[in-house]
Amino acid sequence: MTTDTNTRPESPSGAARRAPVVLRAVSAIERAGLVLAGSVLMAMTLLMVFETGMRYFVGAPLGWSFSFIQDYLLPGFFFLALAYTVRAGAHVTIDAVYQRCPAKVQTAMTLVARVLMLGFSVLLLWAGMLSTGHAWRAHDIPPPGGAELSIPTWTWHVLVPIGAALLTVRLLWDVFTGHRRGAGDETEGNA
Amino acid sequence: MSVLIVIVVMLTLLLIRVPVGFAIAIAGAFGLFVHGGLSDVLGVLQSAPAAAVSSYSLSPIPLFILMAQFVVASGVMDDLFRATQVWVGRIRGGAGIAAAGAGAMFAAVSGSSTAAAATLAHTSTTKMIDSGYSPRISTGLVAVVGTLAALVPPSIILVFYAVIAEESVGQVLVAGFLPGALVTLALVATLVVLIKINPSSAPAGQRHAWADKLRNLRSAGPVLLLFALVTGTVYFGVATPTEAAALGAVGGFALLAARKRANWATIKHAVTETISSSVMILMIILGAHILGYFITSTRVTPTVVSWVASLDVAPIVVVIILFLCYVILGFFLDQIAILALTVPVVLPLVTELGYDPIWFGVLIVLLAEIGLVSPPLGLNVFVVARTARRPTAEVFWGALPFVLAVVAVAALLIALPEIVLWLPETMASTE
Amino acid sequence: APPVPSVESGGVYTLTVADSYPDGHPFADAGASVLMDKASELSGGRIRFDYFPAEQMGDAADLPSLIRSGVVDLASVAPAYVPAELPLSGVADLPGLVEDSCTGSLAVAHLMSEDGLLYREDFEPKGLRPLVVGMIPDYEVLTGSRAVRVPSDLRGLQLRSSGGTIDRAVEGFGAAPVGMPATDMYEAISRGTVDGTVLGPVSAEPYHLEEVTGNATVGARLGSFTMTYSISDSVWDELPPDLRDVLRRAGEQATRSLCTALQEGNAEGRQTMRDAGVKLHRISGSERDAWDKATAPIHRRWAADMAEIDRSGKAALRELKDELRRAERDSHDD
Ligand code: NA
Ligand code: NA
Repeated sequence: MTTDTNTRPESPSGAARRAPVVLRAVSAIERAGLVLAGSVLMAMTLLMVFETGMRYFVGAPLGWSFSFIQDYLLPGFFFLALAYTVRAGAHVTIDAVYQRCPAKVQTAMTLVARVLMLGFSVLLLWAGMLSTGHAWRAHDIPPPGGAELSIPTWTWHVLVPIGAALLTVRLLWDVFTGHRRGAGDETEGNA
Repeated sequence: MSVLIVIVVMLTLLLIRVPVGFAIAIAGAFGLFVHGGLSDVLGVLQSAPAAAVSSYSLSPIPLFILMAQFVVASGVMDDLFRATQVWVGRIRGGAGIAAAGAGAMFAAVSGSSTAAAATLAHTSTTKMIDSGYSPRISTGLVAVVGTLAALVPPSIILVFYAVIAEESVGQVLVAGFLPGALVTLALVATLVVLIKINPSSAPAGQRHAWADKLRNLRSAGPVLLLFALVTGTVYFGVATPTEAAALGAVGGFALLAARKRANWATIKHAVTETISSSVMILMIILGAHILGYFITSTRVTPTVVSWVASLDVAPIVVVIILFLCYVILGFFLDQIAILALTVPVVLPLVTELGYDPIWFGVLIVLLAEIGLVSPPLGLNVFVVARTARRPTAEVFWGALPFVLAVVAVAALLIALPEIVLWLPETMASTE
Repeated sequence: APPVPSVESGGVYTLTVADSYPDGHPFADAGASVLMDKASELSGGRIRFDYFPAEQMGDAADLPSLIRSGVVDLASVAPAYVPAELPLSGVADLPGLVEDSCTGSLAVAHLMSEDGLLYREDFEPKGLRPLVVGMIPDYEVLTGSRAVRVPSDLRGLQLRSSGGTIDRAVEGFGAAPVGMPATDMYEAISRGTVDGTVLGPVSAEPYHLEEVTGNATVGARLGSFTMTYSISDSVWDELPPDLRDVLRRAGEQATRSLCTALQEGNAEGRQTMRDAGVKLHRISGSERDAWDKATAPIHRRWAADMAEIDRSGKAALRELKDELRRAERDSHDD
């Protein structure tokens, strides 16, 4: 087992050379997602420390932090950074068979893997749009004064399709430019 | 039958190098499609992402990772290794014991076995080899010492176990403490025995003055303080596990700042690494959630449970067979994935046989960790081999005696469950 | 979304049922089981059930959306877990209203039936149709060391609370609600991370709270927990009229058996606490007046909050009170 960071592209493929603008746009969006996810992580840390202090020293906990972390911060953290982590090869893979295959087979394996991941990503996007659409049309909103902040629920439902859309674009790029492994591409700039 | 097909699909996906979390998710979606059509797939995908990721109990995971990242960036590990070396330096093999000791201390602030192995490989392995240790012993020891991070609180995998087993996160975390201490002792004992058998595998010890010892003691202070801040607050009820994890992350940052390493580049690196590891773990959890719907629909769990329960064997035999399965699974699969895929199936059986779920969790984590240092797929070994620039086979062989020590500790914990359960039980007493 | 396949095959209707309660919980044993047994019996086997208890098919908060998307056909749906989706139904969980589970659940069941306000406003737009209503009345304060007699004793306490309307009651009485997973509750109370919790006595035992609780109120009426077993509206439309009638009747029977079981469960929960040495304080006389006095502003505040999201909390509260009076009268006539 290993993460796939250690396999780097040898050279950008033809399509990658032809469409640097698209590539730059895609990576810029992914980086923005990463920066947001990092901010969310910081916010979660500080919110929890503040909450602990309020509870322990002041005796007046915020009350909404539990559901806010659950509904917004954790999913925001995950979905905003998902595309970046796929691009950066942060996901653990099992390489035992792959490494023993000839280069041609490796290319085929990577293409099939990316196409399947793309299929999953598209389904996730579709499902995410369905649930967001429902929450939007139904005007679902927690009543004020409860444990949850009174913000329409589509605002957290929408994190799923946003993350899935970013991932879909990344995988489409990988599949159609014949990116060999979709692992971290240093030419795309460091995030 | 359809379960078998889906398992085969999943294994195929893993072998063509689909990342673990995605492989599980895709296999699950495929199973749901076969079972209930596209509407079931989309139905599950509408609630699974929120259900899997939006779990408050999971929030300590990224926070514990962030804490460890800050601690690593602070460079305190170098000092820790040196300090322990000064204290036990007189003994032959002192540096090895120092590596185990420093590893145990690092485990007290790091939640991930592989991350700990990587850090220790950086700080101690090369130094051990340079000072005359056999590379086999130094790399093997460090690969196994990583296991401590998964036992000694904080532990990411124990948090995850608590979440899927629906046990108290705090109690499960605290339960890992004594087993972790035992593993440390067992590793040190193994090391001493190995050096006794072959004295040339380690250099002679070196005396250090008391003034030197006392000066070096200082570096352990901040790490112990951080351990107290996290595990202590949970144990004494000052904070919930999530709050403690956040305190730990801030404490880790304070350590980084105190050592004047808190610059933009290190912070960015720590945050990016935290995001990468956490998202990978959460993706595996999401995948397992999707596959879980399919497994539930097929009703394979109650079938297996009632079949095993109907076998006419002693409960302890069943449990030991299960433990063996966990060791074998560990050879091939990611630890988080193993837990996510098996605990929902196995835990009902284990509790029905009359065993404590906290005890079971600590043991399967300990046993699945063996997979991290055993062929063919041992992530800790790969990480250590890469860092120390040694062949993987050498590290695998080097790890073997230490793995046997871990197995001995596991046997002890099976014989005396009180070792695991005593501390968490003290958390639950009425004053 | 793609069409959901039919539940009918060869004249037999197979419904996938899911809930969040483990085997042995009154909701499962006296609610879901009775509903399913009665319905198969009354339909002569033309309705069958594929039952997944104990969150096997998803968390309590996900079940409504799993019904909507057709993954399950019938499931436990509790407004407290989905306040954004069923806001008005939180009325049933308000403090000071219900003392007896049967009175409470029959009154609420009326409001959730075809012409009821809660059905029209909450359930129908979500494609849900309640068949069984269950209610744990008598939420009490369970504390470690601090004894609670009157509402002012709650001031400044930190209480683990399960969210929804109960949070607002805790806050209304001057305590601070703390959100945390139910599994952390035992240890949080025993270690003093929180001062206590608020729940129905029937729920104390599964978490072994009697071991860590020193004091508990009896009759504080801090609120209730209301849940339903609801069927998907589109599945309902697919059923022939006689089978709908079967489900309706089976649901009514389950509602009655469930409320009896919950009353007993609360009594047993109190007994377990008493046996474990928990000091039970019965609210009586002038103390009761103090609780009622403290409850009125919570009701007003709730109605005002509902108005803010364009829901008529005032009407819901008035209708529930009417129904409760009627249910009480009916039970005395029996
Ligand atoms: Na640890
Ligand atoms: Na392995």
